Amino acid sequence: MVELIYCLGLAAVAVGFGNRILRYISHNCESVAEELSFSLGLGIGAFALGVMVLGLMHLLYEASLYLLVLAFGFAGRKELIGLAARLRGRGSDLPLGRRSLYSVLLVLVGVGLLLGLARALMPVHGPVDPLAYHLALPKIYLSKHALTFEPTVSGALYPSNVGMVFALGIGLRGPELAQILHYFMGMAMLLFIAGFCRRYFDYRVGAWAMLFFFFTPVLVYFAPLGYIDAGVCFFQFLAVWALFNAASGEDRRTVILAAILAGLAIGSKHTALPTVAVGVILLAIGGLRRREAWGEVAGICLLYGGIALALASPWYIRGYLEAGNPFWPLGNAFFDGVPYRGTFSTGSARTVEQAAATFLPSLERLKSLLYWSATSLWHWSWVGEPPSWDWQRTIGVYHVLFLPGLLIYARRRQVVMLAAFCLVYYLIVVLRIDGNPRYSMFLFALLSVLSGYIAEQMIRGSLRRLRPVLLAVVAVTALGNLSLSYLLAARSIDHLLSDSTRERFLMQSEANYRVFRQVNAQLPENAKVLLQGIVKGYYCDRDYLWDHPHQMVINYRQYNTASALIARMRELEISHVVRMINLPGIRLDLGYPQYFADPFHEAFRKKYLRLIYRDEDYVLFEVKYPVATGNGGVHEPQA
Amino acid sequence: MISEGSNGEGQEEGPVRSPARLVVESLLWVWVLGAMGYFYYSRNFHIWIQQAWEQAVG
Repeated sequence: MVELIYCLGLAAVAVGFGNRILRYISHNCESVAEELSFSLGLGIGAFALGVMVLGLMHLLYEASLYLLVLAFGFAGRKELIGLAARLRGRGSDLPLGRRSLYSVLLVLVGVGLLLGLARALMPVHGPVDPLAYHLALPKIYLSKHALTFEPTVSGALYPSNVGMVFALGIGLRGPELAQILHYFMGMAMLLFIAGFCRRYFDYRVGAWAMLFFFFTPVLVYFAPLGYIDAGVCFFQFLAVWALFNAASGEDRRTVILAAILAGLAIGSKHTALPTVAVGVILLAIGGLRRREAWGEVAGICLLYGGIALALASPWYIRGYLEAGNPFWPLGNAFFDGVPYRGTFSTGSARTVEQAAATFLPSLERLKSLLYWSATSLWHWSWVGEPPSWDWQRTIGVYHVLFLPGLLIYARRRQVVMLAAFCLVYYLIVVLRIDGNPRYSMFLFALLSVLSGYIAEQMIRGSLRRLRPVLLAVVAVTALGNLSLSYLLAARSIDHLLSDSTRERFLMQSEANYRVFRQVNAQLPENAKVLLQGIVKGYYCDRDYLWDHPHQMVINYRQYNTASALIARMRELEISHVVRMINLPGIRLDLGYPQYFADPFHEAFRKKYLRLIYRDEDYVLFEVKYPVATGNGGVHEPQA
Repeated sequence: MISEGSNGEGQEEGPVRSPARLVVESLLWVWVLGAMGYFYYSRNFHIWIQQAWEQAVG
């Protein structure tokens, strides 16, 4: 619970400092909701960039993080007080009556918020990605006080603005604060959607859109966990909102704001790069429609693209300096960067349908691309059954139900523009960005706005007498979604209401927690651990390497004899090995060896590894290096 | 940008009562309500509601 107070404190500091930046840009906001949204986005972005600078300067200490927060808090104190004064009493301005069915829908969203919060407050456990790299990398940076290059850890050189926010959370309080900050960024989307709809539609569309987005399964599941995707969505939605403001004919200051937010989005994940491309096109079209001079239009586009790319550039420069590839390990064949065998792809149109992966022009390929473009939204809506459905590829059914209504109701220019933007981005997502809805949550926020607009038009249209029916049916479906959220959160609620400690919970819930507890208690501070069959290294407090089939640091095909392998381990200064006893089939399919059934690894174990701990799932070995003898030979350890 | 802003009571797209429009809007209503009902029933959300209720009230 203390983490929640920290989170709200950081949010307040972010709003104050972000508001100061907003004033510096001299951007005029249309409403207090818009001002609050952009202030929060800029403030959180400033935190990310501040931590990045500390990391690049090798100053990533707890004390320097506190100093950063204090400095931002001091700099933005007047702005925070001013904004708070403007916000005071605004709640009563909301035109939703207490008995309005819209209010009922928003109450359901509120209950869902609390259920998600219960999950976000849990000790970090479970899914792989947070414990393997989203939270693990910031923890490594904090332990080394710098943004180091960890070539065996996935995503080691990806843009990492959200990771920097996590580093702030971990450094100030621990991984649970990072997790809550991620949840907070996901839930801030509700404010952003309301503000966006207030500007371009109305509050009722906003209520619908908030509900549709909030109950999108991919958000429900992932926002309370330590992934980065809700954070990417946070920056990307603000970037698109500011871009729309800029494309609607506002001045240079709006373009600068849009560019800063686009830069923060790109600095969070490569998947935001197309936002800049689409943004440049939108600004160019907007300028030409207003009959502005070519030179002026080109200048605006350059200003936008230049600021955005400059703000994200430290991440790409770091990638180039560390690995010779700004996108490492993506496109490694082109850049000839530090060797890496592949990337962990979670599937896409390219992997689902092999024909779509070929770059040879053919009728088959065209048909595949058209098929996946036309059906992805449908698949993401209908495939699977909760709770075992593939959460990262499940978007719920609201969008495919309401969006066909665009054919009837899309008459206004901003609706057509928004729909066109979504269509272009959707095609990019399906055809280029790994076909994974989790990577582009902001798109579903925009689709929620369009769906909300259609829902509102339906109940104002010819059949408006059926309004209560639609509201009631949606309320029942929201109740269904809420039930699912409750079942997801039930264990968390039990834990929060119990007197169980964090330690005991993790011992029961996180399979490798016990072995890492042993590592942290027994091994010397300078120990270096090789993790075999494990990627979730978060709870290991010693320096470690991943031993997965994609990295090329310790490659068993290259070091394929016991003597070659032990020499390589000596070179890497590996002192201990933590090994998963029985690797699941899914890892074996990826290319991991079943170590205890593999003759090479068994022979190596018998000769060079000494058991010092084991439980049902993991073993901890000490590496016994051969001792060099005086006459230039080596004394091999006894098997 | 639309002028009605936050009051939300704009005069956009008022009901058009041409028979063709009525038919198309009716089809949309049937699609939305029918498919939404089918989706939530076929994915056993009624059972999730029941389970959640039973768990919550003990």
